[in-house]
Amino acid sequence: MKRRALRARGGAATWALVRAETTIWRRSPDGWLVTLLAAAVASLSCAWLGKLSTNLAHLYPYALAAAGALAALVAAVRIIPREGSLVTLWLAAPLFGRELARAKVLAAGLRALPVVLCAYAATLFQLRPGLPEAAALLFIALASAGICTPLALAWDLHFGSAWSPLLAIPCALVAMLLGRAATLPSPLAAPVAAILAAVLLYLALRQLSERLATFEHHASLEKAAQHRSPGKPPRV
Amino acid sequence: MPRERLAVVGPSGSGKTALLALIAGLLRPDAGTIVVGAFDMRYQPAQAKRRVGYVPPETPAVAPLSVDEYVRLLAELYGLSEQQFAERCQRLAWLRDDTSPRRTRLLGAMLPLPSLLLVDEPRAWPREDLDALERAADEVIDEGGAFLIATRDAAIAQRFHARVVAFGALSPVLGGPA
Repeated sequence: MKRRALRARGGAATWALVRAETTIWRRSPDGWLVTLLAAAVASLSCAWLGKLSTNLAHLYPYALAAAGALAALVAAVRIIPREGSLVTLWLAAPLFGRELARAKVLAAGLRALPVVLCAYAATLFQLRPGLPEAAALLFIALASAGICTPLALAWDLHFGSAWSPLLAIPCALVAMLLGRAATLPSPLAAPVAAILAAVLLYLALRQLSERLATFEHHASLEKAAQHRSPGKPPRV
Repeated sequence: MPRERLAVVGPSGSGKTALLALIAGLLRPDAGTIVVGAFDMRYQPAQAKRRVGYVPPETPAVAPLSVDEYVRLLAELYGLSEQQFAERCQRLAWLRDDTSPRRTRLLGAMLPLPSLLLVDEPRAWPREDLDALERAADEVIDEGGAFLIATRDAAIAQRFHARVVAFGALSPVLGGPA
């Protein structure tokens, strides 16, 4: 009973944070601008790959997954400066690292969704695949974005925004792994890809929880704020 | 330190904010323990933080959230029921001022009825907000809690009748020879 009550409270806190982050994002013109820009880049990349010779058609899953990774990257980079000292208050509230981690990932995922869907639509338009292939592509994109988002957030907490472009490396590796597993000509490919995605997602979430639980978030925020604008207080 | 008013006074960079961040559970100490209401911040952070109200340093605005959204968010993070939330809002109605982000932050910090109220650098607060802070400190003290501020300005400490703990090179701050 006690455990159930704790879990319910954790769930309520998580959704409260997700709602707040989504509201902040919704009311931020620059946040929308960055999302639109990322969606445009991802869609154009996928469409451009469609113009290449048919021998390169196997690149589609990776292009789509890269779009998901890009979305995760954008979500990770934009969220932290925007929250500013509101995050300080959240960290001072009686929350566990895992509640914060869940909220961060869900909110970032919501922001990344338009980018992933735009890239997916562009790929479908160019490739015109059958239903099974379309489903496989969607799986790769969503799983990649789902895994890359906590990875990107954990990376950003550890290294700061200056190193964000390097996030593309682990994100691309995740996309490659999933793409390979999901497109293997084997009956085992789909379950293998699903298991791989689940394991990677678990490890990524665990990594993010640990980072948040050690409260280095606050320190990295302060450091990043000082790095961005020396002499100015962190933005709220 | 129940019913105690304490002011940490010292120049910039002397570690006042870091001390408050440690007590609020934002930073983890390399050594030693922080205990709030019998709960160790390292091992029972949620229980310890439930008893702490924290007002961070001066910031220009609350967020793109309205005051209602902000206060409700904090109530949910502190796990208050609807009934508790309504009662607290009524009890703290005097504190609400939608034009002042400092008052909103203070309202958020008072929402859990903390047994320890931490305020980081209220030096630049306008007089009305300092008056509200004084009343909030009185309420916390009356309930058997404690009040701790960190500031560069010794006059602020005197205003709150707080016992001063000096950090760093204090002579210029306290008006002594530089």
